[in-house]
Amino acid sequence: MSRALDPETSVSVQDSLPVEIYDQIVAVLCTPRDLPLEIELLGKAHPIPSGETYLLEENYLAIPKAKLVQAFVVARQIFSKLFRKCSEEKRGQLRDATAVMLLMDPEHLTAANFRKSYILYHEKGERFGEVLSRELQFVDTYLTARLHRHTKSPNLWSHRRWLVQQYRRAKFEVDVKGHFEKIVLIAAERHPSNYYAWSHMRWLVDKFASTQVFKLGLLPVVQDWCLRHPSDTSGFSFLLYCLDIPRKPEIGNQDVVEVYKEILNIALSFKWAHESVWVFLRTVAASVADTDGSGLSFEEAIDTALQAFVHDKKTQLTLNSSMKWYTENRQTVSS
Amino acid sequence: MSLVSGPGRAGTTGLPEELRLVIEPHVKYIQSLDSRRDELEYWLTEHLRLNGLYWGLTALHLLGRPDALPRQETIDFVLSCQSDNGGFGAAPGHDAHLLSTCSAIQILVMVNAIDELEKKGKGEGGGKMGVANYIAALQNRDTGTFAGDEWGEEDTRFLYTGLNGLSLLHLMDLVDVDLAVQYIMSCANFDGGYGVSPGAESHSGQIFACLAALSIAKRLDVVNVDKLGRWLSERQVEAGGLNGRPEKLEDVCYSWWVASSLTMIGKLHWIDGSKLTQFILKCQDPENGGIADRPGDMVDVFHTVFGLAGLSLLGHPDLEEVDATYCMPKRIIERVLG
Repeated sequence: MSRALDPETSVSVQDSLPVEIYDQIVAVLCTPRDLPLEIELLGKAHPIPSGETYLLEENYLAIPKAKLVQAFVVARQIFSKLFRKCSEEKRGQLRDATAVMLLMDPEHLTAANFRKSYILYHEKGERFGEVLSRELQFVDTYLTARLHRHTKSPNLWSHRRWLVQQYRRAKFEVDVKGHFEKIVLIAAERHPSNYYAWSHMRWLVDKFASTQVFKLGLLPVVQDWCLRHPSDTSGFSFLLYCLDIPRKPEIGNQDVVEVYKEILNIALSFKWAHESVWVFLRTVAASVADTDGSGLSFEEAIDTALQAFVHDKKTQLTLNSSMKWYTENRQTVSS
Repeated sequence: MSLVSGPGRAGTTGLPEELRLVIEPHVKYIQSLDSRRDELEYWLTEHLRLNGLYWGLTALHLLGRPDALPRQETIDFVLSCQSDNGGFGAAPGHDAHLLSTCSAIQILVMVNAIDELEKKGKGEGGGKMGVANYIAALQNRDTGTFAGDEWGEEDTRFLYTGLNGLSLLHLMDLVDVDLAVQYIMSCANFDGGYGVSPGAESHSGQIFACLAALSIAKRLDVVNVDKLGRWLSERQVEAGGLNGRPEKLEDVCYSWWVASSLTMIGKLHWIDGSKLTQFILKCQDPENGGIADRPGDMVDVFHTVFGLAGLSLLGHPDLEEVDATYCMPKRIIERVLG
């Protein structure tokens, strides 16, 4: 997680301000669209035709990083000039500047906060619903882009949470499953072990669907995702969250055992060494009754798995560690 | 920036040359950070400027060079980040937030300038009260946790930074500490760890925040130290470094979040300290200074301070002692908190 910039992209702010580049990028970023943009930044290895600021094909947008950097310099200057002394007519300009700033630097808190103020400014207006949905599209575009920092940005996820809260306050519907499949899972895919994406999902479920995990059909989607991303500890952690019996009244012991059995069988068949998988399995095995009775005791599973990794010290360590943890933490739960 | 590579020669300490802690290069690296205002990166990191100053200053203290940054300039800069509401933003003109507010207090304590805050501070009541009132207003009085700012995001990191700042100002009685402790207890997961809120994924950084907050509240007794100690000790990978969660890559900053957590619960000996030391030292740039997240990557001040703090916890003889709860020099914490 090094925050430093590579030398190729370093640009001196003494260069003349490329206002045209800024205007063009603002025009493409800030125009409302039916289909959200899919944004990518291009490095030096992918030059685009000279004279062009970006490549746009349908909703696929590719911007050379060097151009974005130049636009950022302009955006930042506009922001400094207008912020805290902003007249009504210039609010839109300031908001456009924040779009460019956040594309370059997703952690810019003040830029994101300004966008929140802008939303609130329209709260009593007729267009509030439209304003909200445009802003949600904006932040979702950045959260699902092929941009390493944006998909896990605490600032952007926090902004999204605030927006969804505004939806709720305005009594608009929140489609939890839709948010999950179209935004959270994409961000989770783009950035492995995406703590903030999965935290956001927990919040969505807690706030809007805490007794409906089963009803909404979320569990099979989560389980399927985990099986396709077995090295992703956050995915498995979220699966555990869905199976947390004390907090999820819909779920019964048998439901948990079923999931456990399926995943354990796959782990053994595919000879998975992933620590994420075994941490998940040991936690379920230790916290739920009757996994022994299901014919798949954790102890036996570990023994079977160890045989597949006779020459792999690292995996043996993972497995033995899991066994030890299970033994120390297993609960006797009355069924 | 060149980093470590190749076999080293044995140095006077018996270690190969690249496995010794350099001092002057790190000092020079930190001193140079504010002088690059014509570089893009300076403006790209504006959103964490004050935090960066705290990281740099703490690192200098640990390196035994507490006066390496100009004191009055530091104080003036910190005070210029304060908003009218008493909170501090990351840079002048930036919105106030609890994270940068905590950094501001920590910096002022380290340069012994709380009196200047008393004279020139903004917010309700001015001085220490101005900042303290800003922090106190961010506590959720129903649940005990803290929001980061007026926009309401709650996170155990904010709970920690809230108590950190208030305790350094001796104004903890402005908030409900017992309720905060109860909130942290509700965040304890089955695996022994803690996350951002109840039921969240266990994460080393969040674990540090929860433990440090409990430490400030003198309530570490509520922690299942064996369970948590085991989870934390599993963060050490074969090469010696520490990661933050299962199956993630090792990263120098976890040398702090994990090691300080283990220290607070008395289980630092559950990891291999010498292997970790070697890992951190390999992450240095011994010529140009600074420490990176892992060997071969570019250095930055964030990883520099946490690498050094980790080494200090492990008892490195060339470093000042660090306080595991505050990530500040132990000597200073003892002076302030007695």
